[in-house]
Amino acid sequence: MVDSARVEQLRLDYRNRQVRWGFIWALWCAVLWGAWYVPGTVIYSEAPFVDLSDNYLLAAMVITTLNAIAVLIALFIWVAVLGKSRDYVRTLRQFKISRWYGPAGLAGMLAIFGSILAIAYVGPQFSAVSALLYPIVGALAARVWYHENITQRAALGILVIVLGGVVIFAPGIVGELTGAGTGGWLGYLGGALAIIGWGIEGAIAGRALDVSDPDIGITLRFTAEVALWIVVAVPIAAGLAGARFWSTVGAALTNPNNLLLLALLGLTFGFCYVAWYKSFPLIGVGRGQAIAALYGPLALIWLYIFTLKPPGLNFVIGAVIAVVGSFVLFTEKRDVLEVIRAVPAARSGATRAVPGGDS
Amino acid sequence: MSELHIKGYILRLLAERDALWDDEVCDAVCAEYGLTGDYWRGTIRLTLTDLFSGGLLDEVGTTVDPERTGGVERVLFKFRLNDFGRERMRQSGLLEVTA
Repeated sequence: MVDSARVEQLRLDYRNRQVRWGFIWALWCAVLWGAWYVPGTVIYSEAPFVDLSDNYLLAAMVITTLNAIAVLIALFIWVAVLGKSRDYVRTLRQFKISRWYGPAGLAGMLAIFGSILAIAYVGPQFSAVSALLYPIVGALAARVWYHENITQRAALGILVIVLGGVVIFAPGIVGELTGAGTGGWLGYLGGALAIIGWGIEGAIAGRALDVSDPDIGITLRFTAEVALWIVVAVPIAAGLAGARFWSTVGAALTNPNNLLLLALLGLTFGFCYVAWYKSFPLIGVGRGQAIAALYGPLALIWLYIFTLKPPGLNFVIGAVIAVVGSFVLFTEKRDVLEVIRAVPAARSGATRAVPGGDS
Repeated sequence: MSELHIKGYILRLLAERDALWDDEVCDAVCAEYGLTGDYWRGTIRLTLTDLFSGGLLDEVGTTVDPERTGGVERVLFKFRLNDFGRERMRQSGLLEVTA
């Protein structure tokens, strides 16, 4: 016979594990997301992209397309290993559910494209830390669309993160405005695209994930992105750039170093997204995104390890402020986190059954 | 076998009954999709956790009964679909399709 105090203790342990796993997934996302900037930067040093310094826009478009395909391949393997391939097909056929991954894929596609543009036009450190503002877009969208709780403490954490973002953006933007910059406007625009794109993607994904599995959801989201690239973006890019577009794609795929880099891009980004989507239902979109924002400082560390180039001081200070903001969220009281939404249904009147009771 | 994906099937199951224990949901899903073993039962329990923390289910009971959990002392939850869960099912077409 197990007494009711023991049942309550085991229940609390289970719920604490649930919240802890939500944060663990979000942290894994941060580690892998940060690592993604290394192959994302190195690929610009490889042919044919190294010869495209006059047209980084074309280079970014080709890299983002190939990145999406690499991620989708990694995710198909992941879903197959988990034994969920048939459930992927079943979810795809539920059009009223799978259609949500279309706009999520579009928003995410713009964010990744923006980040890759920012790497080329301003630098990888900027690209990594600029997108740190995205949790505020995600949290506000989640609040407006489906009434997700933003407590005072969560709001404070988000505000601190935004302050970090200002430190990161301001010197470069001021430099451009005063004419002292390096003509990196497209890079700053890319940074803004990343903030808006990832914020909105998270909020849309949160809704679709209510009724679908996270591993399958992320695979559907990348299926949508690859479809958007192939059906819409590639024909437009090929039309504008002409034969140069296809010769760039061909040259990229015949360089074996690029294939290795694409495998690294696919693995790091694919599994960072898996972890991201798994954290949302457990701790909420706003918090999942804020903790995952630790990818910013982690990217600075990864980039320093691989390039031995120290990041700008404002990037380090901004990243540290963002870490503080994330930890303000991290230390939120757990009873708030157990159920992440403010829904009208009563849930506190739960009856605690004991063995032999109602079943 | 249901044409619904597993998470959709779980929601349908809960929409049709008043409330279910998580081991009852595991039994029903495994029987429907021909699944066996701890991996799938754990995956189904995780899906129920997702649905609860997403606010679609209410927790209406807890118990510990080692006889039902293979001799292990593990908490079992009883869940009921709430109005928000039903609304989300309606929005995503899950109330209309045949399970």
